[in-house]
Amino acid sequence: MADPMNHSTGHQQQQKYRQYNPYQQVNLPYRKLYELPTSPEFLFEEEATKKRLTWGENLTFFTGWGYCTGSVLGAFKGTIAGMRAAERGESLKIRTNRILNSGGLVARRGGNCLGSVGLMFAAMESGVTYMRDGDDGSLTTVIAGLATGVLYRAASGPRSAVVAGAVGGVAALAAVAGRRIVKRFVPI
Amino acid sequence: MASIVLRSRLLPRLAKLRSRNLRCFSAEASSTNSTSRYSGVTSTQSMFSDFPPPNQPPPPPPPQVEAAAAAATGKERKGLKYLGYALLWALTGATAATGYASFAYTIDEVNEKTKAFRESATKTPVIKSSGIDVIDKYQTKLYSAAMTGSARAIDKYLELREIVEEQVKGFTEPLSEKLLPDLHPAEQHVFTLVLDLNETLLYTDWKRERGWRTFKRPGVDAFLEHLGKFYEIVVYSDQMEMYVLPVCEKLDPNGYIRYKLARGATKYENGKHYRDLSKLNRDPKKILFVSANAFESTLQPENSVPIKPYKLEADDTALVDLIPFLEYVARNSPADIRPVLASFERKDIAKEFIDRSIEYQKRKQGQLGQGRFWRR
Repeated sequence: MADPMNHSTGHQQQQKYRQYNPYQQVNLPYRKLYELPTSPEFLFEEEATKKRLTWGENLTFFTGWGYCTGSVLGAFKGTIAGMRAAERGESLKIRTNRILNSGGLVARRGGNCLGSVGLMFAAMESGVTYMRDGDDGSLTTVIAGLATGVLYRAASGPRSAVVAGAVGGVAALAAVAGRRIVKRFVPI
Repeated sequence: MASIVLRSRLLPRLAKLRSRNLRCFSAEASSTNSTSRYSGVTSTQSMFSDFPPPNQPPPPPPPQVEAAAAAATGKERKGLKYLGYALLWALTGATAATGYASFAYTIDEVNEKTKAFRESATKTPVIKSSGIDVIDKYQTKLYSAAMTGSARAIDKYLELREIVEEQVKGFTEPLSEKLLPDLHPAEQHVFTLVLDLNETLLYTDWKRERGWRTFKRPGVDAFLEHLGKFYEIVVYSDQMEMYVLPVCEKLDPNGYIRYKLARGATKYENGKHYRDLSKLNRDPKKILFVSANAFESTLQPENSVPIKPYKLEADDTALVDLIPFLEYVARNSPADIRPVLASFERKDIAKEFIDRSIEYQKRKQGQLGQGRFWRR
């Protein structure tokens, strides 16, 4: 409880004001000077302290996007495989059935895989952020990626876990670098 | 029919029998004429051979009867099918007519247009018992039944529509004819300042990283504090009540805002929520409505004080600039505020007021005579 109050107090101290006279050149007897803030002023203090998604929002965001992305990519890959497996002389119905079966199967597998990866990454990132006292910088993301890879392949043995951890760390680093590049060149 | 067919078929056989009998008689005459006995026996055998065998069963019924029966059944089925189609199309037409009437006409118009029909249907036509023609009597009864049924259906439709419209009115109309309690007798001269929330006193935006954030407009605290001395301040927003109440608590910790009205107090019309200032239980000559969308969000635009919408500009001073005008109105108490607001011709009232004040002071210093401040 003390930290948010201190933070809000600090935020209030940071609010700067300037003098303003709405009456300007008119010599009215009841003129008055008013103090106006020089930056937008929050109505609710808790909104001012919020700088990132909560851990719950993060969890649902990464899991949902992971599942959707995995499903779409898997469906695409399965459809291509189904088309390539077509043989001469087959009817259209048989070809369509093979494409749909293959696409659906690979889509489900891909969606579940990336969904679970997203879930683990969100949990890891929230945990690492908490353990590093609210620091959510690039190092936190890389550490979370590393931990996610290790956890994902933990059941396959220590050697596989180490390799997966390395892959996760590199992927997280690439994501951080990509984000910075996007922020630099894309005006958001 | 079958019996008739059988009877018609038996007649040719009877004719054949008669011709055979005649031939037998002639044969006997010829045998009598002959003297030998041998020739008589031969003629008897030939007579027996002419008759058909008696044990032969009668022939089966002809297929024409079955065909006729099948044709009759088919005709009945087709008739029923066409009748079903006719009923279905009649029901579709009635539904379409009802939908069009509901959309195009109000309940009073429908009532007026169908009044003559329903009155004529209630008059029972006198059935002439002396009528010889039975078909005419049957047709009259059928016509009367159709008319009565239609009239009753229209009555049911009007009742149902009235019930539905009453339910809808509960959602679209303000929740009371008097949204505010009566004015205190000691404050009969006080003006009522009605304020909007979004883009007038505060601004809300949403981003994925941070969610909802609400910002106060610069000078809103000073605005409420200063004008709370002269005005009865009412917040009248088109947002939900669970949004308006917490926002007003945060916006006004000192209690300058006397009443808070939310979406339930607005009038919903053509997909938009309008503020009905005539239901505030206040003198319409003493109501000022300050809003960023003043003219298009109220049913009484003549009481509106427009202000620039606040969209998070750091150097926004529109709210504080409005204080001189509102203070002047409160101190000088014009008899009717509506022509005063109309004289500004929907311009920036704060700037226009300052310009007029400067011009007035110049004229006063120049001793050109004290004309009226309001251009009327």
